[in-house]
Amino acid sequence: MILLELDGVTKKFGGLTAVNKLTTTVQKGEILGIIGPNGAGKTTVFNLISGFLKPSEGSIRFKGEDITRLEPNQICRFGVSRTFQIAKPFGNITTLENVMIGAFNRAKDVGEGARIADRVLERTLLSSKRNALAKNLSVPERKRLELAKALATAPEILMLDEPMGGLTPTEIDKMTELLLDVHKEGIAILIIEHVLQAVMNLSHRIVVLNYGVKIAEGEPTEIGKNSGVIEAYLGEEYVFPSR
Amino acid sequence: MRESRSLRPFYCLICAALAVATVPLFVSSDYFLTVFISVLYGVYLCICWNLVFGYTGLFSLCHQAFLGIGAYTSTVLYLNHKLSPWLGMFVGAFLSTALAVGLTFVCYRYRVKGLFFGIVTLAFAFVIQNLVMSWDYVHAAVGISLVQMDAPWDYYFMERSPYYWIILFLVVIALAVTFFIERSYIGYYLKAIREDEDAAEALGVPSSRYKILVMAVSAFLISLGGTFYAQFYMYIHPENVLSFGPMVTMQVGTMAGGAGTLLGPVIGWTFFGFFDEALSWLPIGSLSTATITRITYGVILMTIVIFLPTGMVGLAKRLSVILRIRSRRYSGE
Amino acid sequence: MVRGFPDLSGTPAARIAMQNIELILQGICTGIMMGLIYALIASGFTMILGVMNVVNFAHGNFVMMGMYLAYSLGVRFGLDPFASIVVVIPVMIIFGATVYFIIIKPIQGQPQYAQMIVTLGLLYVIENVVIWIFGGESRTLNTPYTTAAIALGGVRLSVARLLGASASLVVLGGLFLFLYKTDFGRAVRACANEPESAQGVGINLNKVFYTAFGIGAAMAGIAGCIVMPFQVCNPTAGIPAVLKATVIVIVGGFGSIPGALFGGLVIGIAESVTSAIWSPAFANVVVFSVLILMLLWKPSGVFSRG
Repeated sequence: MILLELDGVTKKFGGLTAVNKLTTTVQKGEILGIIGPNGAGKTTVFNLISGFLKPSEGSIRFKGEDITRLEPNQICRFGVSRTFQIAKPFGNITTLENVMIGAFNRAKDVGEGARIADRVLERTLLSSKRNALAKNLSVPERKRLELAKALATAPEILMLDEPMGGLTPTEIDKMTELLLDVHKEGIAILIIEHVLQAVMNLSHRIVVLNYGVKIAEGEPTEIGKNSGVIEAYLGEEYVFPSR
Repeated sequence: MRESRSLRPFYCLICAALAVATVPLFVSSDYFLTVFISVLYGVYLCICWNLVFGYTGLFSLCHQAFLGIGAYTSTVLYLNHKLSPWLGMFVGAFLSTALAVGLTFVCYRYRVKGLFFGIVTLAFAFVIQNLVMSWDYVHAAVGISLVQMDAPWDYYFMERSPYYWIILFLVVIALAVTFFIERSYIGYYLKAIREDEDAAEALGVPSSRYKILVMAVSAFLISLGGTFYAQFYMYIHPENVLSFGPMVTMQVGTMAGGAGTLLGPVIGWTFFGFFDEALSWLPIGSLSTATITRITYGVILMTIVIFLPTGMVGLAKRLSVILRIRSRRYSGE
Repeated sequence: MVRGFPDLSGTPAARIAMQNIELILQGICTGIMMGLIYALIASGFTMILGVMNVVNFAHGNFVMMGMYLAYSLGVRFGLDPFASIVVVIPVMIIFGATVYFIIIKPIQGQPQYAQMIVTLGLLYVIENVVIWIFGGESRTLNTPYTTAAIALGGVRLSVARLLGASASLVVLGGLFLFLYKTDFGRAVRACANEPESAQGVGINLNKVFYTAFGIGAAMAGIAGCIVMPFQVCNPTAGIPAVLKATVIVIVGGFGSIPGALFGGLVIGIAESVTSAIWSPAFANVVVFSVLILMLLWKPSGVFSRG
């Protein structure tokens, strides 16, 4: 079943086309990886889907409904949640309270919200930091908090913007486990990542962007061999290694 | 510290209020009662502003406009149309609420946020003040003096004590509103909006809706305070209900006590309200005193932001943490 | 602004224009002169905003300080306001640098509300210090040329405003030279554009901030001197001045000096023309309408990037 549909989505900033006629879908329960060099427009795509930017052309549909012009909070209520590349914790309130905000997307009772939040904190290994102010968390903890907040909203699609950025290999493994765990619940995952090994291992399908254009789409193994992709990341010389 | 879900703090509040309410039974001096009333009035203004600035992080510099609208509406309706200020105050409050909603909505629509929201609200308040100052129907820059009558049904009392109880009641209402908002999901949403509006939106928080709500509630409440001011002090003028002066009161009291906390405004302005009164005992001419007081408040405001941004409540929290660590250290050894 | 303009000749606006062509011309001329003076005020404001990301709510009071300084020097020593500029510049530079050191620098790490409250506190303090020293009444300073005017065509150009506009041009020109032709000026611009990179190449941010604040305050002070011959000054002039500066900066773009010039002229002309045709009070309505229009059309200003 198709959950999210992007149809010819384009975003122009004055003369610059950040995203150019992007068409792709996300299936229920699928993990879709979005990769590409820096500046390829990946985060812009997230901003477009989550409503922080409106596309210049094209449409975005969730479960058949047009969400192109909706506000971010409405899109979240529909079931599409996202994290930010640079974590945005609510600094002056506790970790638990941070996650409760996400939980209130579904439950409006404070007790219920706290219970949901506690459960999510357990899954994301943040229980020990429950009562700490979010501004006092370390970087990997903040990354997990980003995930926890989004998880608490009970989304059908979780969009993660570079969740592994800045993590050590051990932490990357932990995060990967966590994401697989989340996936087991049936939540579809849309993940932007530069840590190629992780995203190749996780994803069912990969979309490659370069200069805002989708240059490849397919299974991780195909993508790894795609010359256009290699060229985009490493430059022409690497496409045909002559040695 | 995990917030308790019990209503205990609320019951404490009620008890404290009842205790404070007995003051007029012991104190018969008109002078002291007036001082207490004036302090409570300042506290009330701070609590109202705290909802919008402390909890939600909105830089509203127009709350004095709602105060003035409340004061002028009920007064003009009373003097020209014989409408009791008890009813007039609600007319003023609804007018203020409508304007607050409109202003906040326009700012949402045109994406005016942060400091520029502050400037737009400052401009709004400035326009309102100038409007009143140049409108003869409301006596322009001359101000309006109310006529003295013995008429409780017209919001006038010969004694000071009824005023004391009214303003105390208003303070309790405002604190209760703050308390119940803070402990509900709305309180969490407001803090999220304050900390990071975009992150909040991404989590499903309809930020514009709650900003409008909190501005509306706050404007409504502060407007009632305006009517109280008119009925107690019997003289309203753009200088005392529409100018930047009341806004400084709100800022000093809220910041000094601790913005975004329930008791911050109470503690903050209780301290400075009495300090204010003490200043007036200085042996300088009365006009100079007023000006020096104002200069002092400006300096205090700057000092608080620089050295103690979390206010007295924040300081107390830090001290309690230090004390707790100390006691744990001693008990461990 | 130039896309396929419809033919407006039959509209009420056009008719009013036709009937009042002289008034409009007068308004435009006065507007250009006032616009240059506004540009001076707005430049200081926008520089502080662009370089340090600080919205200086007290900026209007800096202008007001310049006015009172010119007034005092005029009354005490008979100094012409334009001559007072010589005194006002160093005084305001030192004052601006001091303000930066005492209240802006300490809050650099804090969230945005801190700078708002701190500059509002300063606004309040300055206003009341002025009231304390001078009292609350309005003051004027009469100079030999206060009422003088040159007739040019059908238009009367007030000499005082003409001198003021010229002085503004000179100062703005000097600012331009400083920012674009000197090393330190380039450093200032670098900070406005890319603060992290600027630090990376060894620019002393602190020094730049002191300078920006000092220069911003000085320009405001100069503007205060310039308007003294024809304006009434009172302690409450601070808030309207900073609000006007804000509108100009929104029109011209945050941090843009050319934008401040453009915005100043737009506001100056709009204000003067409506003042001439309708009334000064209505002019305020127009100025705030421009604000709304700008927020609608391009919230980040006309000259901003992207």
